[in-house]
Order: sequence, then C-alpha cells, then structure tokens
Amino acid sequence: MTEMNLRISQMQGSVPVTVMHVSGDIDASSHQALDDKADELINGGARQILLDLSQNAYMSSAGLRSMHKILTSLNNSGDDAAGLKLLNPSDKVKSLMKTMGFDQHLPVFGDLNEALRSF
Amino acid sequence: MANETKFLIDNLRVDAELKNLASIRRALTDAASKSDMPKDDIDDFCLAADEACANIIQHGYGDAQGEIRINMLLASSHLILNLEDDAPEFDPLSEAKGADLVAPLELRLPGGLGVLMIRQNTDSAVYEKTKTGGNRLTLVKYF
Repeated sequence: MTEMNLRISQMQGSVPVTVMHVSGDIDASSHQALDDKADELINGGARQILLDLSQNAYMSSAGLRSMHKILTSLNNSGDDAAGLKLLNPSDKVKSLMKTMGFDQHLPVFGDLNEALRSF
Repeated sequence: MANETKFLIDNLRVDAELKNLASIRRALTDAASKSDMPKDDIDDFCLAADEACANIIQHGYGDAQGEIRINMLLASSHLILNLEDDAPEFDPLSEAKGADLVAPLELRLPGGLGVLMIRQNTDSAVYEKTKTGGNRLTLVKYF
C-alpha cells in the first residue's frame, strides 16, 4: 500500500502521446489527483493519453471511474483521433477490468513502444 | 476439539476520512495474513472492504465527521469483517444506479461499481442497523 505518485512525459509514436506514469495505489482518496491532472492535460490539448500502470499495484473502483472519466473527456473533445490506452496494468487490475466489462473498451499493451505505435 | 473464533482485529477505530483508506487496507491485510486465506483471496477481501469503507465515508457520513469501527474475526474456514459506523441510516450495499456492463464504456454511468466489487469479492455481505441507530456491514469470505 503506497501513496500514489504521478509523472507525466511526452513521447512520440506516430503522433505525440502524453504518458501518465502512475505509481502507488489508486483509491477513493488518491484518484482525485489523477482526475485533476488528466483534466489539466486534456484542457491543455492532450488527445492521445497512455496510462502507464507498470508501477500501480492496487486499484479500486475509483481508478476505473477515473479511467472512464478520462475516456469520456477525450471523446467529448471533438477529436476523432483522441484516445486512452493502458500500459502494463497488473494482473489484478486486468482481472478487475474484465469483471467490470472495461477490458472490451480500453486497449491494453505490455510494451511501451508497441503502445506508442498504436496511436 | 471445539472450533474457536478469534479476533484478528478487535475494535479498531478509524476516523472516517478517505485519506485513511490506505491504512485500513494495511491493517486488514496484515490481520488476514494471520489466517490460512490465500494471498489473492486476502487481496480480494480487502478490496471489498475498501469499497465498503469508501461508501461509508463518502455516502454515509458525507461531509460529517465520524469513525468506522472495525472488527475482523477468524473462524474455522472463513473471515468475518464487521464495519460499524454512526452515520445516518445508510446501506453501503445500495447505490442509486446499478453498474452497466453492457453499453459502450463511454456511455456507461460510473456508479454502481463499488457495490458490485463488494459482492464479487465476498461470499456474503449483509447490512443491518445497529441498536444505537448506526450501521453495521458484515462481510464474510471463506477459504
């Protein structure tokens, strides 16, 4: 159980991709910082977002709601190319997404370069 | 030999604040680790408890201050977790909207997931009002 930390990097696939590196736990307390940062990035023009969950070991439904919120914001941006993808969610998170039906709608990648190329 | 039920957590009182969810999870995980419950099941049980506590804090107490009283018991083949609070009558297992798992993600309402995760990760989840007018949620998981 570790405090959530966020680091943002800009990477290049076929288009510029904003990568949100999340470490620590995403729960009903910490998800707000994730939501706020995503809002800030999207308001600043980010349209292709890769959520790097390589260092995220715990996620409650709050994390799923955050992902939903980010995806909704991107869909509402008016940019058809806008999208949210995931990098290296843990097996627990993948299982959670599958149980909740999220796995059908959020592409998941195990390799950063492959994820970047997919945008 | 009679089967004994023993306390793994005896009346742990935690301020009902979201920032305390991590320490609640830590306490529950540490206690449950004293049983023979497999780690994956412990993680699932603690996730359910986390969802329940988040509901109590956000929807039970709302902006009011209060506490959650936590007891965990080890029975022969299951763990029993009691979460008690003094919020106005509130069933953490009820949510205004159920989870929609069918519609495209971007169309789905974000509510209802917490309750679904409580039910998915426990073998029993029962709400009752306490004699003092508070709420008690009892979660059970077998191993």
